[in-house]
Amino acid sequence: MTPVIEFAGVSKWYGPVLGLRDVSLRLAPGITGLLGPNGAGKSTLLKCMTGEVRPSRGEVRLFGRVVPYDDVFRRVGYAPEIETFFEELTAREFVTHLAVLAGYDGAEAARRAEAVLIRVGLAQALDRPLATYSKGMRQRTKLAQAMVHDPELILLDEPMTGLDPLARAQIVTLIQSLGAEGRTVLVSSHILDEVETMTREIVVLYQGQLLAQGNLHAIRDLIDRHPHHIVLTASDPRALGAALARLECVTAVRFDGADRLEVETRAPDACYAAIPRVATETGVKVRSLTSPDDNLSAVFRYLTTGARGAA
Amino acid sequence: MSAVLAVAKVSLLRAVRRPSTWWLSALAFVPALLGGWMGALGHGAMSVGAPLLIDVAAPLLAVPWVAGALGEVFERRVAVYWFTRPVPRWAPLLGEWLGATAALSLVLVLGGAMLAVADALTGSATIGSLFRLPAAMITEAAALAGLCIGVAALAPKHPVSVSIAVLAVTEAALPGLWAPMQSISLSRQVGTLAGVDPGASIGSLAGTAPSPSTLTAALVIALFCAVPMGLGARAVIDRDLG
Repeated sequence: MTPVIEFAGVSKWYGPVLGLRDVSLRLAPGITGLLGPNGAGKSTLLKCMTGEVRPSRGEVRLFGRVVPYDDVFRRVGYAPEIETFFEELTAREFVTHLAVLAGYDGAEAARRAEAVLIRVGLAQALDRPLATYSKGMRQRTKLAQAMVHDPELILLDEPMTGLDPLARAQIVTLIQSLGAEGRTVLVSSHILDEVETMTREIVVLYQGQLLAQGNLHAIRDLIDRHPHHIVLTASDPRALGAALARLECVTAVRFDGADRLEVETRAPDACYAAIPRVATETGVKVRSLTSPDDNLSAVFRYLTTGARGAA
Repeated sequence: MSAVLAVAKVSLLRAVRRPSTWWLSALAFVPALLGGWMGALGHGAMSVGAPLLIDVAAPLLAVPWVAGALGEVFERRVAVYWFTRPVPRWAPLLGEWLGATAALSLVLVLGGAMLAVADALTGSATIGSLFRLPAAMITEAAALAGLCIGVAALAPKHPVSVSIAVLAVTEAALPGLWAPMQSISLSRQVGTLAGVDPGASIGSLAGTAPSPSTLTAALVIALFCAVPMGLGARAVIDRDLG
């Protein structure tokens, strides 16, 4: 079967700056998360698909044909990461305009625009100028314009940025419904947990390189095998540290200053579950709990230095 | 074609809703007011008002209105919404040109008509002259819109300053250095079509100014529009947009 998206040895330089380095991948229908820290090349990868930028080397194929080609955008919807629109228009006018450009006549374009704006949750603000829209409403409008022509492939560049938790959950549900309809959805994000709620299939980019492609669990396993650090500030870190050190999941405890301790573990989920219980048992007040490892950059650092390609 | 018209319609709508459009539009009526006043004093409404409208007000109106607005669309990457639709990349530029020409024409024709009426009321204008200036303003609107859109596509970071620089070269620097170069002056050629001679005000260091010709005027105005538009279209087709 022809993959929906295919990159063959794609590299992109912006002058001396590397955007993508020799990326080859094939994606089939369903939702795929495109993960990487800021500057990893996620937007460049998406722009190569939309023809916004052309690869310096290699080729990109959508539906089996090298992009850009004239009709590709009948089958592709794209929500870029930019926050601006034609600010003088209302959401209805903006999305209708883009539907007309997608080939629909005025009446059908207007009908589709209204339906899709209602679907993304903007029913109450259809006729408000875009200039008055909040960040969350802008994200929804971007989704609406990407969906208005019923595309088979939808490319979403950081669609959760700036959304509150409720809006985030709604957008996740919407993206999941697009995947369930049999569309191919590629969602970029730099937040692992965000992508995890939508899909198990991921592509990981770091410094322009494809680090891993496949199931998210494989990456999670890597994270779990890699020592994970949890930093706590507590009223009595020595008492808490002594209690935590007795746990099987804890491999090391270090003290840092008067009220901080750092716990090292190879089973972070078990450790996170145990900390409140241990704190209660010892009567120690935990004031904060953070993990310097709980972000993609840490995962990528690990992947690049220790286990590249293992996922 | 429907895509071009759709972009033109939205371009007009956006222009109408921008507050800056309205106060910029007021510029187009200053020459008529000043011309009428000078006409009442017996100095000739057209001889003062027409050069002011053609040489000063029209470019001052067009550059921020068209080049500024479209440059922002490119610079802030809003144009990506056009270029990720199944339409050729030149189509939105053509639509923007149509929309900008329509909007600019409306304002400049009104300004020109007011000036022509002022001239008729205070001088000895013929019926024909009532129509020549407004008609010439349409050609100037089309040419300036083409220039500004081409420049915005070619130099989206600095569309206003580059447009002003281009106009400074074609309208003042080159004609000022060598009189035959007055042929490339848009304002001179529009003046020819309007039946006034704003080019006479350009003092050149050397050479003799070519005599006005309607054919030359039409050709220069068409090139003034088409060359930047063509280069701009080539740029958006060929270059990376991201």
